[in-house]
Amino acid sequence: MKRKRVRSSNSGQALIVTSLVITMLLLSTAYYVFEIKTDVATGQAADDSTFASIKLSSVNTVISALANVSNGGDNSVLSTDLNELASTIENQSYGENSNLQFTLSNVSPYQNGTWISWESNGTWIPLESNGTAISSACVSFLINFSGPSTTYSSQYETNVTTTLNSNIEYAGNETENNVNLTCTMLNENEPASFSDITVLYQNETDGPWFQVDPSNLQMNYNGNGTYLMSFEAYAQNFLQVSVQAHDLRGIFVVANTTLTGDWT
Amino acid sequence: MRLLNDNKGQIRIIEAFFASVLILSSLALIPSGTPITNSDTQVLSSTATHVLTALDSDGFLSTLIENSSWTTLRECVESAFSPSIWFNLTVFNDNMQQMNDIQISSGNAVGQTIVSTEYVCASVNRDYNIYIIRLQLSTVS
Repeated sequence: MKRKRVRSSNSGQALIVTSLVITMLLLSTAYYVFEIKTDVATGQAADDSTFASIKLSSVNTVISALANVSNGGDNSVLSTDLNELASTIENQSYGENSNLQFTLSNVSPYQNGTWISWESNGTWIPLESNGTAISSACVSFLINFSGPSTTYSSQYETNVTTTLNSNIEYAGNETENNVNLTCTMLNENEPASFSDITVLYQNETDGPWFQVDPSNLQMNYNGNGTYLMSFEAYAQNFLQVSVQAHDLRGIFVVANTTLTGDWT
Repeated sequence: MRLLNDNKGQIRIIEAFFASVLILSSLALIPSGTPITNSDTQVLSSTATHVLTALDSDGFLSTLIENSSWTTLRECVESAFSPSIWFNLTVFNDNMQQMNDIQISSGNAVGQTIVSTEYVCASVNRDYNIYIIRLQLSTVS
Protein backbone atom coordinates (compact mmCIF):
# COMPACT_ATOMS: atom_id res chain seq x y z
CA MET A 1 0.00 0.00 0.00
CA LYS A 2 2.89 2.29 0.85
CA ARG A 3 4.71 1.37 -2.40
CA LYS A 4 1.63 2.18 -4.44
CA ARG A 5 1.35 5.69 -2.93
CA VAL A 6 4.98 6.48 -3.77
CA ARG A 7 4.51 5.38 -7.40
CA SER A 8 1.40 7.52 -7.63
CA SER A 9 3.13 10.64 -6.29
CA ASN A 10 6.09 10.22 -8.70
CA SER A 11 3.95 10.23 -11.86
CA GLY A 12 3.91 14.05 -12.04
CA GLN A 13 7.71 14.23 -11.83
CA ALA A 14 8.04 11.68 -14.61
CA LEU A 15 5.74 13.77 -16.75
CA ILE A 16 7.80 16.88 -16.11
CA VAL A 17 11.01 15.07 -17.03
CA THR A 18 9.39 13.61 -20.15
CA SER A 19 8.04 16.97 -21.23
CA LEU A 20 11.47 18.54 -20.62
CA VAL A 21 13.16 15.90 -22.77
CA ILE A 22 10.60 16.34 -25.55
CA THR A 23 11.00 20.12 -25.36
CA MET A 24 14.78 19.82 -25.58
CA LEU A 25 14.48 17.50 -28.57
CA LEU A 26 12.12 19.87 -30.35
CA LEU A 27 14.32 22.84 -29.56
CA SER A 28 17.52 21.20 -30.68
CA THR A 29 15.87 20.08 -33.94
CA ALA A 30 14.52 23.58 -34.58
CA TYR A 31 17.91 25.13 -33.80
CA TYR A 32 19.73 22.65 -36.04
CA VAL A 33 17.37 23.36 -38.96
CA PHE A 34 17.81 27.10 -38.43
CA GLU A 35 21.62 26.81 -38.43
CA ILE A 36 21.66 24.64 -41.54
CA LYS A 37 19.42 27.09 -43.41
CA THR A 38 21.65 30.03 -42.45
CA ASP A 39 24.83 28.20 -43.50
CA VAL A 40 23.39 27.12 -46.85
CA ALA A 41 22.10 30.60 -47.66
CA THR A 42 25.29 32.51 -46.81
CA GLY A 43 27.65 29.82 -48.09
CA GLN A 44 25.80 29.60 -51.40
CA ALA A 45 25.83 33.40 -51.82
CA ALA A 46 29.59 33.52 -51.22
CA ASP A 47 30.19 30.61 -53.61
CA ASP A 48 28.08 32.17 -56.37
CA SER A 49 29.87 35.53 -56.27
CA THR A 50 33.31 33.90 -56.04
CA PHE A 51 32.48 31.53 -58.88
CA ALA A 52 31.23 34.43 -61.06
CA SER A 53 34.38 36.47 -60.42
CA ILE A 54 36.76 33.57 -61.18
CA LYS A 55 34.79 32.71 -64.32
CA LEU A 56 34.99 36.33 -65.52
CA SER A 57 38.77 36.41 -64.89
CA SER A 58 39.21 33.20 -66.86
CA VAL A 59 37.17 34.55 -69.80
CA ASN A 60 39.15 37.81 -69.77
CA THR A 61 42.38 35.81 -69.79
CA VAL A 62 41.25 33.80 -72.83
CA ILE A 63 40.29 37.03 -74.65
CA SER A 64 43.69 38.56 -73.86
CA ALA A 65 45.56 35.47 -75.08
CA LEU A 66 43.49 35.26 -78.27
CA ALA A 67 44.16 38.94 -78.99
CA ASN A 68 47.87 38.18 -78.56
CA VAL A 69 47.89 35.01 -80.71
CA SER A 70 45.73 36.48 -83.49
CA ASN A 71 48.15 39.41 -83.78
CA GLY A 72 51.07 37.06 -84.40
CA GLY A 73 51.91 35.92 -80.87
CA ASP A 74 52.93 32.38 -80.00
CA ASN A 75 49.95 30.14 -79.17
CA SER A 76 51.68 28.97 -75.97
CA VAL A 77 50.62 32.36 -74.54
CA LEU A 78 47.20 30.92 -73.69
CA SER A 79 48.51 28.22 -71.37
CA THR A 80 51.13 30.58 -69.90
CA ASP A 81 48.52 33.21 -69.03
CA LEU A 82 46.06 30.67 -67.64
CA ASN A 83 48.77 29.12 -65.46
CA GLU A 84 49.55 32.57 -64.09
CA LEU A 85 45.86 33.16 -63.35
CA ALA A 86 45.45 29.76 -61.67
CA SER A 87 48.51 30.40 -59.52
CA THR A 88 47.25 33.85 -58.47
CA ILE A 89 43.78 32.53 -57.62
CA GLU A 90 45.29 29.72 -55.55
CA ASN A 91 47.48 32.19 -53.65
CA GLN A 92 44.71 34.74 -53.06
CA SER A 93 42.17 31.96 -52.44
CA TYR A 94 39.26 34.39 -52.01
CA GLY A 95 39.16 33.62 -48.30
CA GLU A 96 38.71 29.92 -49.04
CA ASN A 97 40.81 27.23 -50.68
CA SER A 98 40.18 27.84 -54.37
CA ASN A 99 41.69 25.93 -57.22
CA LEU A 100 41.37 26.54 -60.98
CA GLN A 101 42.23 23.82 -63.48
CA PHE A 102 42.01 24.14 -67.27
CA THR A 103 42.21 21.96 -70.37
CA LEU A 104 43.00 23.47 -73.76
CA SER A 105 40.89 22.12 -76.59
CA ASN A 106 42.74 19.99 -79.12
CA VAL A 107 39.65 18.92 -80.99
CA SER A 108 40.19 19.77 -84.68
CA PRO A 109 40.48 22.52 -85.86
CA TYR A 110 41.74 23.70 -82.44
CA GLN A 111 45.39 23.31 -81.54
CA ASN A 112 46.50 24.09 -78.00
CA GLY A 113 43.18 25.81 -77.44
CA THR A 114 43.29 28.20 -80.40
CA TRP A 115 42.10 28.19 -83.99
CA ILE A 116 43.30 30.88 -86.39
CA SER A 117 42.07 30.56 -89.96
CA TRP A 118 45.14 32.14 -91.55
CA GLU A 119 48.90 32.02 -91.21
CA SER A 120 51.60 34.63 -91.25
CA ASN A 121 54.38 34.53 -93.83
CA GLY A 122 55.52 38.12 -93.52
CA THR A 123 52.04 38.96 -94.74
CA TRP A 124 48.72 37.50 -93.60
CA ILE A 125 47.70 34.54 -95.72
CA PRO A 126 44.21 33.11 -95.13
CA LEU A 127 44.10 29.33 -95.34
CA GLU A 128 40.95 29.60 -97.44
CA SER A 129 39.68 32.36 -99.71
CA ASN A 130 36.02 31.77 -98.98
CA GLY A 131 35.46 35.17 -97.42
CA THR A 132 35.30 33.90 -93.84
CA ALA A 133 37.88 34.48 -91.13
CA ILE A 134 37.82 32.98 -87.66
CA SER A 135 39.92 33.64 -84.56
CA SER A 136 38.85 31.37 -81.77
CA ALA A 137 39.95 29.94 -78.45
CA CYS A 138 38.31 27.11 -76.55
CA VAL A 139 39.19 26.07 -72.99
CA SER A 140 37.47 23.87 -70.38
CA PHE A 141 37.72 24.93 -66.75
CA LEU A 142 37.17 23.27 -63.40
CA ILE A 143 36.85 25.34 -60.22
CA ASN A 144 37.10 23.71 -56.79
CA PHE A 145 36.36 25.46 -53.48
CA SER A 146 36.80 23.94 -50.10
CA GLY A 147 35.87 26.18 -47.19
CA PRO A 148 35.21 25.44 -43.53
CA SER A 149 31.49 24.85 -44.13
CA THR A 150 31.11 24.16 -47.85
CA THR A 151 32.79 22.30 -50.69
CA TYR A 152 31.92 23.42 -54.16
CA SER A 153 32.95 22.34 -57.64
CA SER A 154 31.96 23.72 -61.03
CA GLN A 155 32.93 22.88 -64.58
CA TYR A 156 32.39 25.12 -67.60
CA GLU A 157 33.72 25.74 -71.11
CA THR A 158 34.79 29.10 -72.49
CA ASN A 159 34.69 29.70 -76.22
CA VAL A 160 35.80 33.11 -77.48
CA THR A 161 35.30 33.49 -81.22
CA THR A 162 35.58 36.44 -83.55
CA THR A 163 34.20 35.82 -87.04
CA LEU A 164 34.47 38.05 -90.11
CA ASN A 165 32.44 37.33 -93.23
CA SER A 166 33.17 39.30 -96.40
CA ASN A 167 31.46 39.30 -99.76
CA ILE A 168 32.30 41.33 -102.90
CA GLU A 169 30.44 42.43 -105.98
CA TYR A 170 32.20 44.11 -108.86
CA ALA A 171 30.56 46.52 -111.27
CA GLY A 172 33.21 46.94 -113.95
CA ASN A 173 32.84 48.47 -117.40
CA GLU A 174 34.51 51.21 -119.42
CA THR A 175 33.32 54.00 -117.11
CA GLU A 176 32.79 52.33 -113.74
CA ASN A 177 35.11 50.13 -111.67
CA ASN A 178 33.25 49.89 -108.43
CA VAL A 179 33.78 47.20 -105.81
CA ASN A 180 30.97 46.72 -103.30
CA LEU A 181 32.16 45.00 -100.18
CA THR A 182 29.87 43.65 -97.46
CA CYS A 183 31.50 42.66 -94.16
CA THR A 184 29.90 41.19 -91.06
CA MET A 185 31.73 41.03 -87.74
CA LEU A 186 30.53 38.64 -85.03
CA ASN A 187 31.67 37.96 -81.45
CA GLU A 188 30.45 34.55 -80.24
CA ASN A 189 27.92 34.68 -83.10
CA GLU A 190 26.52 37.99 -81.86
CA PRO A 191 26.82 41.24 -83.88
CA ALA A 192 30.00 43.14 -83.10
CA SER A 193 31.90 46.20 -84.28
CA PHE A 194 35.27 46.87 -85.86
CA SER A 195 37.93 48.71 -83.95
CA ASP A 196 39.84 49.31 -87.17
CA ILE A 197 39.80 47.91 -90.70
CA THR A 198 42.23 47.72 -93.62
CA VAL A 199 41.13 46.73 -97.14
CA LEU A 200 43.58 45.52 -99.80
CA TYR A 201 42.97 44.18 -103.28
CA GLN A 202 44.83 42.23 -105.94
CA ASN A 203 43.73 42.50 -109.56
CA GLU A 204 45.87 39.74 -111.06
CA THR A 205 46.88 36.32 -109.81
CA ASP A 206 50.10 36.51 -107.75
CA GLY A 207 50.19 40.23 -108.52
CA PRO A 208 50.95 43.02 -106.05
CA TRP A 209 48.51 44.01 -103.33
CA PHE A 210 47.11 47.55 -103.31
CA GLN A 211 45.82 49.07 -100.10
CA VAL A 212 42.59 51.00 -100.43
CA ASP A 213 43.12 54.52 -99.16
CA PRO A 214 40.78 55.06 -96.18
CA SER A 215 39.68 58.37 -97.73
CA ASN A 216 38.50 56.47 -100.84
CA LEU A 217 36.68 53.82 -98.81
CA GLN A 218 33.03 54.64 -98.33
CA MET A 219 31.61 52.84 -95.35
CA ASN A 220 28.12 52.59 -93.89
CA TYR A 221 27.09 50.59 -90.85
CA ASN A 222 23.97 48.62 -91.63
CA GLY A 223 23.33 47.23 -88.12
CA ASN A 224 23.72 43.65 -86.87
CA GLY A 225 27.50 43.87 -87.27
CA THR A 226 27.21 44.44 -91.04
CA TYR A 227 29.20 47.13 -92.85
CA LEU A 228 28.61 48.13 -96.47
CA MET A 229 31.74 49.47 -98.16
CA SER A 230 32.66 50.52 -101.67
CA PHE A 231 35.83 51.59 -103.43
CA GLU A 232 37.17 51.90 -106.96
CA ALA A 233 39.54 49.31 -108.39
CA TYR A 234 40.38 48.25 -111.94
CA ALA A 235 40.23 44.54 -112.66
CA GLN A 236 39.55 42.49 -115.79
CA ASN A 237 38.91 38.89 -114.88
CA PHE A 238 40.39 38.47 -111.42
CA LEU A 239 39.85 40.35 -108.21
CA GLN A 240 40.85 39.30 -104.72
CA VAL A 241 39.95 41.49 -101.75
CA SER A 242 41.56 41.07 -98.34
CA VAL A 243 39.87 42.53 -95.28
CA GLN A 244 41.98 42.82 -92.13
CA ALA A 245 40.24 43.99 -88.98
CA HIS A 246 40.37 44.13 -85.20
CA ASP A 247 37.23 43.82 -83.13
CA LEU A 248 36.73 45.97 -80.03
CA ARG A 249 38.55 43.35 -77.91
CA GLY A 250 41.69 43.65 -80.06
CA ILE A 251 41.22 40.25 -81.69
CA PHE A 252 42.53 40.25 -85.26
CA VAL A 253 40.89 38.57 -88.28
CA VAL A 254 41.82 38.37 -91.97
CA ALA A 255 39.29 37.36 -94.65
CA ASN A 256 39.98 37.03 -98.37
CA THR A 257 37.35 36.90 -101.10
CA THR A 258 38.11 36.10 -104.72
CA LEU A 259 36.02 36.98 -107.77
CA THR A 260 36.88 35.50 -111.17
CA GLY A 261 35.28 35.67 -114.61
CA ASP A 262 35.22 37.90 -117.65
CA TRP A 263 33.15 40.94 -116.72
CA THR A 264 34.63 43.50 -119.13
CA MET B 1 -12.70 13.97 -1.85
CA ARG B 2 -12.09 11.11 -4.30
CA LEU B 3 -12.74 13.50 -7.13
CA LEU B 4 -10.00 15.84 -5.88
CA ASN B 5 -7.54 12.99 -5.66
CA ASP B 6 -8.38 12.04 -9.26
CA ASN B 7 -7.58 15.61 -10.42
CA LYS B 8 -4.10 15.56 -8.91
CA GLY B 9 -2.55 13.96 -12.01
CA GLN B 10 -4.19 16.41 -14.37
CA ILE B 11 -2.88 19.39 -12.41
CA ARG B 12 0.63 17.96 -12.64
CA ILE B 13 0.21 17.60 -16.36
CA ILE B 14 -0.79 21.25 -16.55
CA GLU B 15 2.22 22.14 -14.40
CA ALA B 16 4.47 20.16 -16.71
CA PHE B 17 2.98 21.94 -19.71
CA PHE B 18 3.60 25.38 -18.20
CA ALA B 19 7.11 24.33 -17.23
CA SER B 20 7.88 23.25 -20.77
CA VAL B 21 6.39 26.46 -22.20
CA LEU B 22 8.59 28.45 -19.82
CA ILE B 23 11.70 26.52 -20.80
CA LEU B 24 10.82 26.74 -24.49
CA SER B 25 10.25 30.49 -24.40
CA SER B 26 13.48 31.14 -22.50
CA LEU B 27 15.62 28.90 -24.73
CA ALA B 28 14.05 30.24 -27.93
CA LEU B 29 15.70 33.59 -27.24
CA ILE B 30 19.25 32.15 -27.33
CA PRO B 31 19.97 31.55 -31.07
CA SER B 32 18.69 34.93 -32.25
CA GLY B 33 21.99 36.84 -31.73
CA THR B 34 25.11 35.47 -33.40
CA PRO B 35 24.11 34.17 -36.88
CA ILE B 36 22.76 37.54 -37.99
CA THR B 37 26.15 39.22 -37.51
CA ASN B 38 27.83 36.42 -39.45
CA SER B 39 25.25 36.76 -42.21
CA ASP B 40 25.83 40.54 -42.44
CA THR B 41 29.55 39.94 -42.91
CA GLN B 42 28.86 37.40 -45.64
CA VAL B 43 26.44 39.78 -47.35
CA LEU B 44 28.98 42.63 -47.33
CA SER B 45 31.68 40.33 -48.67
CA SER B 46 29.37 38.99 -51.36
CA THR B 47 28.25 42.53 -52.29
CA ALA B 48 31.89 43.61 -52.68
CA THR B 49 32.58 40.74 -55.09
CA HIS B 50 29.36 41.43 -57.02
CA VAL B 51 30.24 45.10 -57.48
CA LEU B 52 33.79 44.33 -58.64
CA THR B 53 32.50 41.62 -61.00
CA ALA B 54 29.99 44.06 -62.49
CA LEU B 55 32.72 46.69 -62.99
CA ASP B 56 35.02 44.09 -64.54
CA SER B 57 32.63 43.12 -67.33
CA ASP B 58 34.05 43.84 -70.80
CA GLY B 59 37.41 44.57 -69.17
CA PHE B 60 36.30 47.98 -67.88
CA LEU B 61 37.98 47.59 -64.50
CA SER B 62 41.37 46.56 -65.92
CA THR B 63 41.18 49.42 -68.43
CA LEU B 64 40.67 51.92 -65.60
CA ILE B 65 43.65 50.44 -63.74
CA GLU B 66 45.91 50.45 -66.79
CA ASN B 67 45.00 54.08 -67.47
CA SER B 68 45.54 54.95 -63.77
CA SER B 69 42.03 56.43 -63.74
CA TRP B 70 41.77 56.31 -59.95
CA THR B 71 39.26 59.14 -59.65
CA THR B 72 36.93 57.47 -62.15
CA LEU B 73 37.36 54.19 -60.31
CA ARG B 74 36.44 55.82 -56.99
CA GLU B 75 33.35 57.40 -58.58
CA CYS B 76 32.28 54.06 -60.07
CA VAL B 77 32.63 52.24 -56.74
CA GLU B 78 30.95 55.10 -54.87
CA SER B 79 27.94 54.98 -57.21
CA ALA B 80 27.61 51.23 -56.65
CA PHE B 81 27.15 51.48 -52.87
CA SER B 82 24.64 53.30 -50.75
CA PRO B 83 25.93 56.24 -48.64
CA SER B 84 25.54 54.06 -45.54
CA ILE B 85 28.43 51.85 -46.65
CA TRP B 86 32.04 52.93 -46.17
CA PHE B 87 34.62 51.58 -48.64
CA ASN B 88 38.35 51.62 -49.18
CA LEU B 89 39.83 50.16 -52.36
CA THR B 90 43.46 49.30 -53.01
CA VAL B 91 44.93 48.00 -56.27
CA PHE B 92 48.00 45.77 -56.27
CA ASN B 93 50.03 44.33 -59.11
CA ASP B 94 50.91 40.63 -59.21
CA ASN B 95 53.89 41.32 -56.90
CA MET B 96 51.50 42.82 -54.33
CA GLN B 97 52.89 46.31 -54.82
CA GLN B 98 50.30 49.04 -54.42
CA MET B 99 49.44 50.76 -57.69
CA ASN B 100 46.98 53.51 -56.76
CA ASP B 101 48.86 56.60 -55.65
CA ILE B 102 45.73 58.30 -54.32
CA GLN B 103 43.30 56.99 -51.75
CA ILE B 104 40.20 55.38 -53.26
CA SER B 105 37.88 55.67 -50.31
CA SER B 106 34.62 57.20 -49.14
CA GLY B 107 36.19 58.78 -46.04
CA ASN B 108 37.14 57.58 -42.60
CA ALA B 109 35.86 54.25 -41.35
CA VAL B 110 33.26 54.60 -38.62
CA GLY B 111 31.84 51.06 -38.43
CA GLN B 112 33.00 48.60 -35.80
CA THR B 113 33.51 45.73 -38.25
CA ILE B 114 35.39 46.06 -41.55
CA VAL B 115 34.96 43.30 -44.14
CA SER B 116 37.88 42.86 -46.53
CA THR B 117 37.48 41.13 -49.90
CA GLU B 118 40.16 40.41 -52.48
CA TYR B 119 39.39 40.15 -56.19
CA VAL B 120 41.63 38.90 -58.99
CA CYS B 121 41.24 41.09 -62.08
CA ALA B 122 42.66 39.81 -65.38
CA SER B 123 43.26 42.31 -68.16
CA VAL B 124 41.79 41.77 -71.63
CA ASN B 125 44.65 43.50 -73.43
CA ARG B 126 47.07 41.43 -75.46
CA ASP B 127 49.76 42.47 -72.95
CA TYR B 128 48.43 40.30 -70.15
CA ASN B 129 48.47 41.52 -66.56
CA ILE B 130 46.84 40.43 -63.35
CA TYR B 131 45.75 42.89 -60.67
CA ILE B 132 44.62 42.14 -57.13
CA ILE B 133 41.96 44.46 -55.82
CA ARG B 134 41.31 44.70 -52.10
CA LEU B 135 37.94 46.20 -51.26
CA GLN B 136 37.18 46.91 -47.61
CA LEU B 137 33.58 47.60 -46.61
CA SER B 138 31.88 48.64 -43.43
CA THR B 139 28.37 49.68 -42.52
CA VAL B 140 28.20 53.23 -41.23
CA SER B 141 26.21 53.12 -37.96
